[in-house]
Amino acid sequence: MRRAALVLATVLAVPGWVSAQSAVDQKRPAAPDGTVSIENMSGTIKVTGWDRAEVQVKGTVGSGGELSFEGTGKIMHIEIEADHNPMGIRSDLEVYVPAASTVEIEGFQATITAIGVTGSVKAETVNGSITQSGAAKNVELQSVNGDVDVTKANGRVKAESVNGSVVLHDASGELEASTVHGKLHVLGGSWQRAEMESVAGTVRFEAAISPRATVSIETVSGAVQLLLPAGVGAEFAVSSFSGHITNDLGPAATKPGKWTPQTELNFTTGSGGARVTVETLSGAIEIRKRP
Amino acid sequence: MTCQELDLRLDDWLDGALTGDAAREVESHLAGCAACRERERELRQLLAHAAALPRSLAPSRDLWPEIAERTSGGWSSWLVWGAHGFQPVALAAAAAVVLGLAALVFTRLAPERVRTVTMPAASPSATTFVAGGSAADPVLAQAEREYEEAAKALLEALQRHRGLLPAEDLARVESNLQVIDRALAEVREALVKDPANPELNRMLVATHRKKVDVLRRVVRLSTAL
Repeated sequence: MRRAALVLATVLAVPGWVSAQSAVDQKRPAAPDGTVSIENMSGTIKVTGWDRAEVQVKGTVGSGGELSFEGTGKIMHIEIEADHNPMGIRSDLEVYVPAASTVEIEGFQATITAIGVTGSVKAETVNGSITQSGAAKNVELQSVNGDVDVTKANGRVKAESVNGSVVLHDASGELEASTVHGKLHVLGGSWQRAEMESVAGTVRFEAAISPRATVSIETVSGAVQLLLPAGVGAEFAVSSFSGHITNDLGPAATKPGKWTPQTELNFTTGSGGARVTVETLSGAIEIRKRP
Repeated sequence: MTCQELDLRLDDWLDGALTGDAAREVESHLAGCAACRERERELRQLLAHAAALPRSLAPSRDLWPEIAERTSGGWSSWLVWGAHGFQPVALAAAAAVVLGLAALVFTRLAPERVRTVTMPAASPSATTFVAGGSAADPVLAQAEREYEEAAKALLEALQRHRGLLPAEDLARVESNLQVIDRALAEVREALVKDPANPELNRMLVATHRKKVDVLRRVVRLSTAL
């Protein structure tokens, strides 16, 4: 009897969505460069770009939720509609879209992944990571409590996280990125414009820059590590109110006046051309040659 | 060097245009003259205003279009504001007041140093303004108050929607807001030591902006549920 009660208790303890999830698998014809918007408040959303002129949605929808898949051709909308608080309905979706699509994804307690989309990827979630990979021309990713990871995007990139990190691998183009206290790393790739801000997180920029690039990094207390190719031609304007500045590419930092603790560093490498600005309040700044 | 002679050279000295003996004469006079040190401090502050404001006092690159859209007919994601009494119009108007005040200050005090920048406005037409400030002066203090008011309104909105957000998410958000508040305190402390520092002026406003951005995003997402 005690064993039966234990089994019953175990069964009752299984979350409702586990036992009541329903499988979905739908597809519709789509334009090769249309817009696909996806809303799934809780669970996972994985979007994959493919070479077919159709959108396919597969996965599982939690109890109390229903898949809404509307539109044809240029504009399509996929949403998990809920008859109560959508936070309690966990759905896991795999969405296949024409690679050149514009994809707009919104989650809340959702982990978002976008692979192989060459058009635009715009994604936002509160509690979950966002991972993008592929040569998207326009990427805009924002998470509150999750990490943001961008790989090989090639165009305009905007990446922000409040509580998590932002890391870019081998991406190129124009960047705006920010964190509060998570790390912000730009690793590889080549940039025409890069604006990076963090309140207390470490900012590391280890990438190539184009001849007339503008790169700016600003933190309050976060450390800054700037690793550039030895032959880079750029004008540098570096300053920190109370942080230490280390420079392997040129002269040492100096104090601009007797009545300020600030240290500054202004110098030019090669024939100039690019413009690099770094400002911190108390974060240490390191300027190194990229290995 | 007399105080009048220093007056003529102070500007160039601050710009770094004086070197060698000329610079040393200015420094020597400043070291022994409290009145001229005060003038130097004021001039540094003024230069900091001019350098800081065009980049820093502009509200967030995301905030302006939303305020503008709200004032010209509304956007559904901002309904929470209207429903609970927050008035972005007032914020935009207050920002315009700040900028107008700053323009007046700079036009009167240092017309040759004023930088003019055209910014997106809350109204359909662009507003041209000039300004700047540090926390020690009324201009930046007013800007700080505007950001603080916006943050307060957002915090209240967030408070009203606490039930929609998991407790651990709220805790993380609050933890990050504390990081930002500590950073603000750190910048203010540095500004006490060096009130005319343009980088610090920019940093102060940028950090305020970050706080408002974070709150705005969390409120918008939580009310979208």
